Amino acid sequence: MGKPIKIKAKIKGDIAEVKALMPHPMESGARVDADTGETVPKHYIQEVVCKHNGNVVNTAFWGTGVSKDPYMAFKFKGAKAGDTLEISWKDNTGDTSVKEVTLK
Amino acid sequence: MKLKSNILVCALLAALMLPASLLAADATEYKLELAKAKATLRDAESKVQLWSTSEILLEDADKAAASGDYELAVKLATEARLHGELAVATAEREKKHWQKNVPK
Amino acid sequence: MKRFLTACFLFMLMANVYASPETDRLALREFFAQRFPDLDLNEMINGLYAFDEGAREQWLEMEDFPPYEIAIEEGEEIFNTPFANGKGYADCFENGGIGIKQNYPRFDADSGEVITLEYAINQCRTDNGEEPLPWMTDELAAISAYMAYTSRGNKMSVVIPDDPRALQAYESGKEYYYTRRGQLEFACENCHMQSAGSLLRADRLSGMLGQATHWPVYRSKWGEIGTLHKRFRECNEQVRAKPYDAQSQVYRELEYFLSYMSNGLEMNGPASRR
Repeated sequence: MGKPIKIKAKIKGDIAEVKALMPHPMESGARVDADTGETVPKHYIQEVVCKHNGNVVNTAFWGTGVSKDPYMAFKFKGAKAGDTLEISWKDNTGDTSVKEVTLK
Repeated sequence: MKLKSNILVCALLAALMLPASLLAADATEYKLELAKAKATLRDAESKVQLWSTSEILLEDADKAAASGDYELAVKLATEARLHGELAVATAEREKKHWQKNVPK
Repeated sequence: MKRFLTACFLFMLMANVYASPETDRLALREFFAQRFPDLDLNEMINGLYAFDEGAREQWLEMEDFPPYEIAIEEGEEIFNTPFANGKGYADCFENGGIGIKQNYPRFDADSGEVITLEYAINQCRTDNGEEPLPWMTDELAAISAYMAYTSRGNKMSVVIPDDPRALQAYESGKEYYYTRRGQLEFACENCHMQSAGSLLRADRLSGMLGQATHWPVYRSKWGEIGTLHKRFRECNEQVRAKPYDAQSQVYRELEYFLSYMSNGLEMNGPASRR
């Protein structure tokens, strides 16, 4: 199980503003370890899925250009207090992480 | 007559080639330059003034010497010594001047 | 009479020598007050963001969900995990290690050394039978980040005790700061005093005042959190001076000097920078 996703969400009117911080090494596979001289293998988030009350509102397909501990922010319509927001990611090793919050 | 002039030509050629072989660097000269360079760099280091670009010159000089290119080895060691001399000069100059920029 | 006069002279000499760090600190504040008359000196704890409007806006947005939060949480977890012998970091520090970073570095009279917070953290580990953490690791920076976080709002309060060794350490740090070095022959003060607020490539240079209050720092350039001594090494390399090891005596004394210069300013670590 990957490291937990940190989520902050605010509702303004019927729009939810979501910010998420996802601890992850995000290795591109091109970096050479200064000590061992070996190439650090690829290890990066490939897909991020955001669901509002179980419905997908945002899907992101990431590549090796995204840096370590990615930060993502987005907005979506139709949010009200008490709704659930779930963000999950899957990386190239098959590892995943899911976090669910209740919108206030 | 012909033999005498032949011998003369040979002697002349030998005389011309001799200085070149005397000028070519050899292991002894390299050892000398290396010792001077190391001493100067150590002096700079003791004065908290060692440059980050100096020690690599000695590494490269060593490699050149190992492959028999004493010309290059001496050149690199001499440059390293020059680094050290400049660094020591900075140390001496700064000892006299650093107080001037302290706000009073 | 002669003895009385000698005693007076020696007293005055000592008084002058002891007064020096405080005189330096006030003179430094005056220097920046004159250079930036419209700037609230307290803002300088935010480094270049005190000088650069555009960068400041971006930074404030980031502060909403800062990248160093991860390090604070990791640090808290490590801090609260007991050692093999059952004791913990809280046992090594006053107030259980909470809200104390403003007192570091401190001068240790027994060893005659300047002790930075990171140095004290490793001392705590070795005192309790644990292996010390290598100076530039994430874990050490994370513990420091957590302790910095609990110290936010406190005023930097570094003490230079009435001990000639402590004063010597301060003076060594001070001399280091003002001395040009490296193949590029820069002194710290060339960038952080003479050129504070000016552009160096795409960034504005921070000023010396407030430079020690916000460590450790998540530097976007590093993609991770790092300590002040990591930054010292980087600065040295940038002027082509051979860097020292993190937590070497030279760097601890430099940190001692720098921290004293920021006395009275608010602790605001850990921070994020570009």
